[in-house]
Amino acid sequence: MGLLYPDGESGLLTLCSDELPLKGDPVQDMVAVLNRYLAGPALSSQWLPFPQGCELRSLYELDPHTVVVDLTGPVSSGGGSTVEMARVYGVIDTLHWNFPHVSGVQILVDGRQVQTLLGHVDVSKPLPADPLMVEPGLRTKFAGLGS
Amino acid sequence: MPHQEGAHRTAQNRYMAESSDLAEAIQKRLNDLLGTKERGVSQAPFVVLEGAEMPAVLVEVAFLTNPHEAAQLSDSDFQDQVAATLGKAIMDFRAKHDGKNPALPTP
Repeated sequence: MGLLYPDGESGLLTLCSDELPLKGDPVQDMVAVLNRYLAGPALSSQWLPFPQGCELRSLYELDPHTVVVDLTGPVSSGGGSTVEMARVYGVIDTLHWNFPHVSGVQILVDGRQVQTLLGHVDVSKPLPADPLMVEPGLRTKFAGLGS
Repeated sequence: MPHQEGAHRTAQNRYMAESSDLAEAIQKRLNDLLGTKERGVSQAPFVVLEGAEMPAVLVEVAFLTNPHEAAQLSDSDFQDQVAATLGKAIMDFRAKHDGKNPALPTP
């Protein structure tokens, strides 16, 4: 399993591998991956783009390629556009990295659609994974996932 | 990437290549002015750009959380320099794209 956290220097998403056992059920496994993600990175060079106290409320499939991620806690506090982009695409790109069939993610906060998390990135509809948010060394592999 | 039919698409996508060029022109000029490190150009569905039927970018000149940069931002000379730099970058962009895309607005 790979978790994509922003790098302290560039802000781009870099890979942190983890040995979390997966059960083979996509939804349960996505829940496990995101819960592990929200616990924060093991590498000191990376940072968690969420404030303490943010949790996954629920996760379900909208269609075979689109997942709804419902978050709770102080999801909409602390940071500017850099943090916001890392927050949004950290979740979306991590899901796509581990579950390549997931190409769109709808983020909810406390069960509700929101326009943005921190005022910049429109999350009111499902967003596709974005290879440009990951570090250049991972982009080719990332862009080829699911094809 | 496959299977993006349900994913978010905005008017920005129509001008994505031009917007990226404009962003790079601005980034280059601002790096020269500010001596800042290249942070690259990011693409995302920014709400402030939605509905713009033209190349559009979001420029974040400095961080208010950095005391030095916050002081710069409130200095009128610095504001003038940034405005002039943005103007030069737009002219760089025009010089590159003039005649290539008749849909672009004329200055």
